[in-house]
Amino acid sequence: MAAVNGDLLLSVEGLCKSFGGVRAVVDFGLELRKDHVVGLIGPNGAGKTTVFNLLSGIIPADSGKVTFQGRDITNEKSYVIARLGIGRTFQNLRLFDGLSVADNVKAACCHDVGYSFLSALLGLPGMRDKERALNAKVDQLLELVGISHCRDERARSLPYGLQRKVEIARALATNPQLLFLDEPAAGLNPSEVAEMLTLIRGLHEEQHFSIFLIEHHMEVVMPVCDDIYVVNMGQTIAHGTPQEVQSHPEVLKAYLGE
Amino acid sequence: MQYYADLATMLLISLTAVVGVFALTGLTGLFSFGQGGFMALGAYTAVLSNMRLGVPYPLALLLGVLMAGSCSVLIGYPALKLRRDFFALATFGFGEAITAIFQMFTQVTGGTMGLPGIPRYTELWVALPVAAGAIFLVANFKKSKMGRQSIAIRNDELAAQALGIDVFRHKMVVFAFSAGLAGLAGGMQGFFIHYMDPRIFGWTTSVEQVITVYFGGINSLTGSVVSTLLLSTMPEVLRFASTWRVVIYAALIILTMNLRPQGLLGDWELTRSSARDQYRRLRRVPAEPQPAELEVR
Repeated sequence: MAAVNGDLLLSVEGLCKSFGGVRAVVDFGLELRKDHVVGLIGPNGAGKTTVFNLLSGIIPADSGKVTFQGRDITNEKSYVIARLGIGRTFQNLRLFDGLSVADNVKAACCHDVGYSFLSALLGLPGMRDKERALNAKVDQLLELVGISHCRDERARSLPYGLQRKVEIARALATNPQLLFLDEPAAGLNPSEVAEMLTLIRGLHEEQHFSIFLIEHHMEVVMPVCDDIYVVNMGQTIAHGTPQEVQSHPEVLKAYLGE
Repeated sequence: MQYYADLATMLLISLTAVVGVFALTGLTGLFSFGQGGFMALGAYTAVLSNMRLGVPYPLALLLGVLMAGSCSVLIGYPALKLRRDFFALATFGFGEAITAIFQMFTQVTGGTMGLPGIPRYTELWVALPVAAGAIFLVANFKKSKMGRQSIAIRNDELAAQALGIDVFRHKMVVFAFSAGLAGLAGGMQGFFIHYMDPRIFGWTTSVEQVITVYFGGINSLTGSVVSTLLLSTMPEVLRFASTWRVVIYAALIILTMNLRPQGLLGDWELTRSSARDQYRRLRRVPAEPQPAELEVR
């Protein structure tokens, strides 16, 4: 049991959140092990993104406990959670306008750049070396997600599919142990969806990222996930392997209606 | 000749404050209408420490910078927790409060009667390297992680925070930096004008600086510099038009904001490589006018 617990990256117990009278998330529980890909699916408005926002500290939880690598991060500030090793993307793309693709990624590498405000102002050699190292890191990340060719373009002027990839590169720049992907394939055409699936697989199998994934495209969720949670109306209605979930009567009811 | 030297000195003093506002309002998107207050703090700290305590000029300027910087931390701590629009209001209130306080402490500051007989130490050869130094610092600020994080925060605070940027701390550092530059400009101004009265550091000064930054383009430091040159000299150039000059000045700003919302220079920065590109373009197609200059006329 101890060995299994050692692999536990993220655990969530009894997470609740209400907006006014709407119970957006009710008693949500989760266990995410190292090197696993866990999926979170459910109909629109089921509370999936709210779960992400609660776990990444963007909105405070009403109750519940979130533990990441043995550390209690419940209601911790979102930048602290990011620095502890949870990187995330946003469903409705939140790239920084006015910055190039490379600078968008660099902006997220802030806490490991490692030069002071003073050396930034004076342009000291130490800062220039660090910037050079940063450039190398960014090139590597852009290569990894396959967008090296648009390094110097304005991030927000790129086609939608590429913007999704910039989001992922930016999340990777925070040196995450665990990656939260909020509908990475939303709004993509079928060939782009296939590409995204390859990318997510690569991140998991070759780069060994643990991933928590929200997605509507079942052709993405089913092949990559080890474990799937299904939510509806804020409640967790099913949990299991992709095969178990697909044949679960509650899930069929939620998706297809009665 | 002295007239032009004085005009240039005044312009360089404004420039020192404006580049600080460029970092704060242009890049980070925080509207401070209290920069005049920081200038007043810098000016009175520097001038009084020199006149009353005999602190030498460079050290007095430094004291002014430290005073403005530390007051900005005191104000920033509560004010930067507010939403951006309330931050603007809070800084406006702060700036007005500072000038009101200085007007009340008649024994120390001379109140509305002003403070006469200030020695004149700020000459052109002082103001020039100081302004150049300020531009150098802000140019490095923009190029470094500070600039990227500022633009990220200006665009999407929530995403910036979720990607590991300590937004509050970053804003605090930038606010103190710009207040320090305002304090420096204030100190230099104090030792330039012989006579000082708190009202010269009122909200109009703060607003002018914000307008200057927007006029030049919020992403371009070069824009802020050019726009300071234009807007500070314009009242002098338009002197022939006497009372109409304020109207012309205002109309020009309104026209620019409407016809060119990205500001005079947009994103363009003067660097060694961009200057080379510009030079080549001018030589190949000499007939093509520069779009940035068209708007100025």
